[in-house]
Amino acid sequence: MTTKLAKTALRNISRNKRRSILSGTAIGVSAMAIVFLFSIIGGMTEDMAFNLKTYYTGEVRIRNIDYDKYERYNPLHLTVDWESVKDLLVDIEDIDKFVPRISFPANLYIEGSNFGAMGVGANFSLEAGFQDLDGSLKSGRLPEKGKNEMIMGAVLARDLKLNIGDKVTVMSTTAARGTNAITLKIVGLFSFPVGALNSKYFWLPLDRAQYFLRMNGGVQEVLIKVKEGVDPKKAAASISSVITNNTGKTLDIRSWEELSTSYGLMKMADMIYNFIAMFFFLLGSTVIINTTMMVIFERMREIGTLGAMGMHGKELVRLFFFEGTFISMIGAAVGVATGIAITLYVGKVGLDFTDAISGMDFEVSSILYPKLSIGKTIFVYFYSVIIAAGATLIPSKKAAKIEPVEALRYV
Amino acid sequence: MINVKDVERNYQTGETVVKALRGVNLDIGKGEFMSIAGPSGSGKTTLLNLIGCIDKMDAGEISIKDEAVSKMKKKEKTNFRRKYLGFIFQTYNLIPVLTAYENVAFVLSLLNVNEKEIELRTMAILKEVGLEGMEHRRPGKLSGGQQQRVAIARALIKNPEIVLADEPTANLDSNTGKEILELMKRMNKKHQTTFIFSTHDQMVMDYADRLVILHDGQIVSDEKR
Ligand SMILES: Nc1ncnc2c1ncn2[C@@H]1O[C@H](COP(=O)(O)OP(=O)(O)OP(=O)(O)O)[C@@H](O)[C@H]1O
Ligand SMILES: [Mg+2]
Repeated sequence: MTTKLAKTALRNISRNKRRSILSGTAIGVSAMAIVFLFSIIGGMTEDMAFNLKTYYTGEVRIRNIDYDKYERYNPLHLTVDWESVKDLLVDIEDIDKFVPRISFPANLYIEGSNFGAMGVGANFSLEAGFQDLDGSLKSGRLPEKGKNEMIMGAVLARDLKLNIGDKVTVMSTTAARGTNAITLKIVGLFSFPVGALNSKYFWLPLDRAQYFLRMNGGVQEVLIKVKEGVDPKKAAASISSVITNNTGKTLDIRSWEELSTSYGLMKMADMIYNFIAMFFFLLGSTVIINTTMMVIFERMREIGTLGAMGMHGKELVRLFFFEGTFISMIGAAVGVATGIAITLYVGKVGLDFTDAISGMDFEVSSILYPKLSIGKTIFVYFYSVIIAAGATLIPSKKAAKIEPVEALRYV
Repeated sequence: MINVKDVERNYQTGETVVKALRGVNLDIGKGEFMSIAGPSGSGKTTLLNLIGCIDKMDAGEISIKDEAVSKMKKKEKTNFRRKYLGFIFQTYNLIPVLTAYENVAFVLSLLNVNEKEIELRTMAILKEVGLEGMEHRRPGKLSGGQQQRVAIARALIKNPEIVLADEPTANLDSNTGKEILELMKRMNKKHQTTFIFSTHDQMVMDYADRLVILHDGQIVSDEKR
């Protein structure tokens, strides 16, 4: 019986093609939009994770145990002993790569005026293995160890009207709370995917930064990438015990997910987007509720006939419910397919957010590549079908309440 | 087999009450070929609906196969109709998306008859009503007379005790109407199915073995011929 009802329902879809297409389209458009939206979120989350791991915290970050407590005072004296830590890290199985860094606020003194910027002291030969430095370097070359050289964010250089070959005097507060200045020559311009890094930062050799900031061979932080398949959180714990056992010192060693608030927010946003998706689907479903209602009125005499022939209310409900469900399934399938197509296309071209997020301090790249998640996409399909089918149940239930006598008299 | 006793049916429309049936008494035996005639508004449809278990009476009782209709619950009535009653409508009322074959076979699916038997019986009845070769046409591709033949096949396929037909020929020209009546009569004789049909057409009344005439909700004449 159910198969007969399903077959009839399937044919009923074509009875009023335009209306069925309308319902299907409403559901399809919402499914498409959600697939695309989820892909953008997916791309954004992945991108943010990549940027955090590469530029901000690594997968595991090592700092002096007291650094975070005094972070707002720029406590450069709270260092990590790079030389001793380095030797320990090399022998830890879970670790793939690691780099030392020193970030510090600085003033650039140019033609009598001061401009705020951020300096990063880095070991460029280690960085080359840690991130795609060559890809990020737009022109010039990398600074050499021991030389007073820097590379500068392309946007910052443009803003300050500086170019390769120019010399810039940098002033900052040292670890000993004194003021110091150093003149660095720009040897290259870089452009990282994250806009904020290009408009504020310049990078110099680690040894020059250590010397300039009077850090006594210490570094502010060590960023670590773990081997594939290793859980950063577990790695952080094991690194911590190795260091404590060997040096007797405790350092602040945490995984990136523990460190980043924005990534946590991103994950929470994910949940919120599920609700937004539901809202979209409910909106799309109002159309199918309406059309099902119309269909029931239109086929009133048929309902009366079937009722007189001995069809139960429940079976009549199923007839309309199946019809709505089939329309939802088809609409959602087409919508999801379109969403996938759009995502794949935009995923190649990229979405340029440069203007929208310029000046925002957000660890997301200016050009975003939507990332399709198969799991999410399948979820969107069933999610939309279930909500739309559930919605058709509302008007379909009306069919059970109709008395055959009245339905037969209906014109 | 059908016993109608003191049946009354009133319709309330706003302030006024229309007494559509006022004390109808009727005994109908198995295999009768009976017509209910009378002018418009005399209560023919109302009486057929009550016998057909799709309407509620206000007083009196109808029993069919010794079952009191007024005592049945909605679900029981539906099951009762499913098993024992067949309907033929003035406007045929076929399901437009189903073929002639499927329109008829549907009834047996409701009774959980197996596929094999459904096929045999459906093909047989369609042949009997003269639709051989048109099994796979949808109603839209059939003439009014052919559609009513499908409807007759649909009503008869389950070998019901009673077939109720409200003005079955009113939408057909007189020749086609005659063919339909002859078909109904042939089926009545062959399967011993009780037929009750309403009409206000003299030609149709002439086919009946028994003619009941309603006037203002009351039976004014009841004759066997
Ligand atoms: N649902 C209803 N609501 C109100 N009054 C009704 C309703 N159905 C029928 N009536 C009234 O009851 C009376 C009997 O109606 P019924 O339909 O049984 O007559 P009929 O003999 O079938 O007429 P016709 O030949 O026009 O089909 C009429 O006066 C009609 O107006
Ligand atoms: Mg009538």
